[in-house]
Amino acid sequence: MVRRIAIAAATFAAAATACTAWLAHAKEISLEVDDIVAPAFSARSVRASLSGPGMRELALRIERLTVGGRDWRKVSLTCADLQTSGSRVSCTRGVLDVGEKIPLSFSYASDRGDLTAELKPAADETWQVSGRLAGARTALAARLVNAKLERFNTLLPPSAPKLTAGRASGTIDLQGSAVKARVQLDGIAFADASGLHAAEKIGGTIEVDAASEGKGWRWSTRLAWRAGELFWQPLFLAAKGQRLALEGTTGDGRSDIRSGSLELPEIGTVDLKASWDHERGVLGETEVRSARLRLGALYEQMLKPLLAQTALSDLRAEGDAAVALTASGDGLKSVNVELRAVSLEDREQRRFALFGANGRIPWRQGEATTGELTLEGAEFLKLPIGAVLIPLRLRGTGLAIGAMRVPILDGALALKDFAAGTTTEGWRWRLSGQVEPISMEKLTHAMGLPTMHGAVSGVIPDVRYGRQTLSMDGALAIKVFDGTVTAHDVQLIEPFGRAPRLHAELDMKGLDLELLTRTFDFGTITGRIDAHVAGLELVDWQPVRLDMRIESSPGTYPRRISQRAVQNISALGGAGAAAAIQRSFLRFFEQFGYARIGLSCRLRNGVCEMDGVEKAPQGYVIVKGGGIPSISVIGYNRSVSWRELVERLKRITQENVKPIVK
Amino acid sequence: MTRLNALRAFVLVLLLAFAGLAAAQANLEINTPAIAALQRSMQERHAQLQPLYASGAVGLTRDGNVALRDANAVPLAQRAQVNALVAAENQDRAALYREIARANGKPEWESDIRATFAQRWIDKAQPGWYYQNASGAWVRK
Repeated sequence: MVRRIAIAAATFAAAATACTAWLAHAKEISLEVDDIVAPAFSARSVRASLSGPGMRELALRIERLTVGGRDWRKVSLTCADLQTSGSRVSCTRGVLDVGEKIPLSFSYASDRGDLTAELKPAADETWQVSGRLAGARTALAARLVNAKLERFNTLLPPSAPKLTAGRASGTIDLQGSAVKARVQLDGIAFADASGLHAAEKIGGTIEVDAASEGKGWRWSTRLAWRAGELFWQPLFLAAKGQRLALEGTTGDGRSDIRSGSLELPEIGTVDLKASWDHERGVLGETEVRSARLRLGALYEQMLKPLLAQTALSDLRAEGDAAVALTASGDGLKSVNVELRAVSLEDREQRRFALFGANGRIPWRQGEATTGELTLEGAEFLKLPIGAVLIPLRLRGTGLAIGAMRVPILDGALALKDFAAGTTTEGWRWRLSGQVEPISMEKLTHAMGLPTMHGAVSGVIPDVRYGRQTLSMDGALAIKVFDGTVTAHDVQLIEPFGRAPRLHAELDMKGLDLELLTRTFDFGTITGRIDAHVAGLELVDWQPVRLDMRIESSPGTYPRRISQRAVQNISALGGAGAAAAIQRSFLRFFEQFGYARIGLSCRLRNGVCEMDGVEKAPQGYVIVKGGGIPSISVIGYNRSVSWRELVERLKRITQENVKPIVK
Repeated sequence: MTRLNALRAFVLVLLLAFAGLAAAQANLEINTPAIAALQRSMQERHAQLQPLYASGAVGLTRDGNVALRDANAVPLAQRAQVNALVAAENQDRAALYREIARANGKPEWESDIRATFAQRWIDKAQPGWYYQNASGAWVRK
């Protein structure tokens, strides 16, 4: 900006000098120059003429004017009342034509170099320059009043966003080799064709002080952003009174920011030092640090728009971070992050939260480092998690945690050998560990499920994640309902996708039916069952394929079934048995004996092919009677829609507590 | 040499015929829980995308995705969200094509299904919406 004004002033001066020269030496006044070439501009085919009464009409035409790499064709300067007296030449009714006709006045005294010029493109818009052109003692003052910034579009590279509005007012002073600018900007708008780099209603101030020093310049600049909004893909920022102050030097093909500070209201201050190699276009030694960034405001102002539609789109963030990083031409060299009392909470959906995170995360290029994080607590899918200490080992893009214990309710998840890293196929990680007994009563209560008894515990075998698939080698065992549930060959594909796909084999041994039926209010069945689920496939947590077989566990134990349980099982499989109770003396008994219970389901395409412990005429036996009084339940429907089955189960269990079957 | 070329042409024709057959036989209306979940998610998002299609900010691409076409039609403060919407929609669309191929028992048909859907979305687009023609240029319907 400073440079442009200086160039404009120099152009007027050149024109004026030429005029006086012609007056001194010629009577027939017209002049043609093929080319005028200077480092900052060039003019092709320049024609100047003086005519009219008293030679007072000046016409200067330039076929092609190039300033700063931009071209103007057919630029002209005309003056209807050119005045000359001695060494002074002036014009009060000039017109500069650069596609747009701009009224112009100027006066220049060649003996002392005194110059004043004024462009008045509109009633409220003025571009003025006044001062003296005198070599090293040149002093010029430019004043802008509501200067329209769209005029600079022609100076910008074609790929740059186009200015569509904006005014600048202020002063730019040139004293010898020192420049001082104080400019106020208002209502700036710009946008590129895609709309990915755009701003609206930008207002602020720019202050620049620069002085030549040796072969280069020493400068300082202060920017204040008062109003407006900016979208620079992917970042959206609104004016909050942000300030940037930089001090440095430019020369010898490089610029150095000796000290800089970026003030982000509500967030904190960032200090920086940097250097830039102009020729190679690379960053030199750079240092960015902030002693205290408030994460709540940082999230709200800068990160939230970036994280829309992700799990982190609706956080309440609290706490501070201190950040220090160094970089150079070959990338990041070090990063130090220190967290102080950081809390994050998924606001509406409450899927996760972590409280009181403290610690330090150091990282060095090409070096291994260790850090440590502590959490006072956390919450995951409504499960409260206790204090956790996380020892970190970092190297390159890899992260490892030797061992950590995550307390959950009255138990814990003890993890070891966690290692993560990025590959060309995305994130990969692995871990192993064990579940220290967590009470099922507490667990189901915390998750809002019907109360179950027993405990979850077991060994977590080698779990690996990579290529968007989580897989587990070995078996995961859970102790529940006084029996065991074992899962093996577990594979979870795209766990973070819209429709996660789970493959697993399940084995259940010796589950206590009394605990189970009491939990789901199914009526009472005394006894034990085993279950085997082969080829289980869930998509979006809905079963799409399985081969399930439930049957009474081998062994000797009391086997009784209540009338209500009989009715419920009948309702699941078919109508026959319940009708039998209604019609016979059996309805006088509350409890019956049984010999075996068994039910199988082969689920394909939403239909469950059912079977029981043995064949019955036109059906299959679900409960085979035994003891006195005994009862058998026969199922007649062999094909039942899975959806229908789930609906029936829901209806049965709904009367008591919330249904647990999805 | 000519015989070899003739053979190549024959193999090509055969492959194309099979590709056509494959696309023709895929059941695009197949329903599984995964497909239902994806359709639900896309339906919910559609309310947010519709005004963006109408304003021309977002258009339908020739490869069955959506893309940011001209963000200038969207208020500055919402442009980042439009990016996120487009990314989320494309993620769902990719999963949908994959799931339909899987549900048909032919995961290798994914790209054929994607191509078929790309044309379907464009056919179903409302007048005034933008879509990419075969050469990738934006066209207003």
